[in-house]
Amino acid sequence: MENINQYLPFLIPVAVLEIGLLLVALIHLIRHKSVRNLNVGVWAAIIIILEFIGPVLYFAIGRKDD
Amino acid sequence: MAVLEINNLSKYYREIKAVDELDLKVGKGSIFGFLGRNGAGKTTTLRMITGTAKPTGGEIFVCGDRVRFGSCAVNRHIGYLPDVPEFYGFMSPREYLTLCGRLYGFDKAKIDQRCGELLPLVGLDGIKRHIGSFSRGMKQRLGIAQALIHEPELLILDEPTSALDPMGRRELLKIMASLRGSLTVIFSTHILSDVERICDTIGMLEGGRLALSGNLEGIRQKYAGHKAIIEINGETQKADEFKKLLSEKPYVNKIESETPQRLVVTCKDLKALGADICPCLAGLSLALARFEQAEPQLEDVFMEVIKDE
Amino acid sequence: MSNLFTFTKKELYEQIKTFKGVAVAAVLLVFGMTSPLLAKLMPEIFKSADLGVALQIPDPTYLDAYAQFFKNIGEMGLIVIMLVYAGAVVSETTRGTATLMLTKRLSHSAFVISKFLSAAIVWTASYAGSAALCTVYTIYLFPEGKPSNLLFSLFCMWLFGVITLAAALFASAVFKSYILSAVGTFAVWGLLLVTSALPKIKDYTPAFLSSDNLKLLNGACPPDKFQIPIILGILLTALLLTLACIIFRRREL
Repeated sequence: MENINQYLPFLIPVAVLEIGLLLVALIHLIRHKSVRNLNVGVWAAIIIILEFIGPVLYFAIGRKDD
Repeated sequence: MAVLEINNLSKYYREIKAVDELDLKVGKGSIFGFLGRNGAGKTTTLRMITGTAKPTGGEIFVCGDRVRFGSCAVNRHIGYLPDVPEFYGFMSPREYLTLCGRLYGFDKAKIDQRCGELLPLVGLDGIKRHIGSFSRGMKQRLGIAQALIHEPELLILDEPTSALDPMGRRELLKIMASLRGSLTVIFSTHILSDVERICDTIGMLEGGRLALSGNLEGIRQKYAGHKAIIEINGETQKADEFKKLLSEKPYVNKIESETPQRLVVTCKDLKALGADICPCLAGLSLALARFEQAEPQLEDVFMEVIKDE
Repeated sequence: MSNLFTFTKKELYEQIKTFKGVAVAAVLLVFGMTSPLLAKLMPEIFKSADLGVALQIPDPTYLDAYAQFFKNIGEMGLIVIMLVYAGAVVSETTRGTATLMLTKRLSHSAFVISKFLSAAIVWTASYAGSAALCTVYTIYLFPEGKPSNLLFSLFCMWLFGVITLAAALFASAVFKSYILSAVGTFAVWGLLLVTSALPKIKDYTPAFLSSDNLKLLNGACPPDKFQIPIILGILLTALLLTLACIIFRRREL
């Protein structure tokens, strides 16, 4: 896998976007502590385990509109 | 000209007649209290006026224009605050009012002017927080502001005070009273003291129909003259005898007594009662402490109307 | 007209403020970058997995990069889009925020169309960014070979996304809960995909736009064949939106 390094410049933006989205979703969840469907714990798990799609699902259907 | 005219309006949910051949007129400049217990059809009627519910039959005119379900044309005359107003939680009050103003085609200067008038009126001036963090009272006040943004001729408020604490209610009633004279207000409620505080005309809905309507003073007078409060000084035993004597009179319908010395008499002829009291008391050697024609509370009228139905 | 503009602006503002649009953009941008990478790295991954059998994997080309891209966007990307926009109208009717807007001078149609427009704007911008990233990555990773009809092929997938959005808006204006709306959206989408497997109509259905647009790149399918699917796709979008407006106007709030 040593030549994976040559693709690093391509992978970094992907990682930044993915981790960024994950953090934004988690921070939002922790600050609001309430969700529309399911419960906070399940959503935390979804956000972390289904990396990438999880945060999107959270913003689409999990987050409460204030 | 009537600001609101409702002819023969009906709304059926399957077999349930929520509103049943309702006729109603509200004159310009009045503060109209729309009374009725929960489920009497108040909210349904107001929703039909704003075009968000479809009437089964009948017509509604606002300022002479016919209301059509699913069309927003007549809304230029109406400012509406539903019973539980919901706003966009991510906006500040000013952003929300700006959006409302834009929907009426106002330019920036006009919107700034209206915000400058309305936000202080409802006590939300300078509040930059998001609406999502507002209390119910604040949302209700913002609701009034958004309903007034386009200077409507008719302001419709559905149970504006029901969900509020006493402080919030007082503030809201104050705002509503301050609007007197500038536009016509219809507000529905089941809280009678609110109506007594600020309304000049009322309509009482019962079973989907108007059970009573008119000028508040007129209604008071109509239902007055039936009740008297009598207070006497003397022994309990003699007071009971006096009560018995009165109840034998042909014009007396009912006597309620909290204590033997305090009687509330409902009768057909208040004059005859007044003339008969003193001889009766003299015979029993009792003294009259108070004789007073009772001011009818709206609640009494309310109960009486509902009983009649 | 000015209300359409005002409300579309509000919708865009809302999508940024609530992160919905941001999340959609992030998904699409990531797909734009990962698809060519995945195509490039796939043989290496297979090799390192060491399945015990000597697999003969041909060297990947730019075609594999775009195949990955269209697969990711056309499946996961559109699923995300549908999940987000199936709530467009229904989230406002269930919460009650629509009432105050529709009792002003905002018509039911403007309400629905604004939501479609804002969703289409977010889709278009994110998809354009995603496609641009994918193209740049592909050129860098696969210098040899040049795709033909690239823009047209990308356009076909874009149009299929717009049709999907119209389906989501339709379902969300018709149904009374988010779950029903999401199920309805997937039902319309599923029906469309089914048509691309039926022999008689598979060359004409709008689903052709996403199932065969890859073949444009190496000339396996001429652009002419896309005429009817494009026209039908535009008509389907218009039909779904018109129905959404009509049914929404007759709904009690």
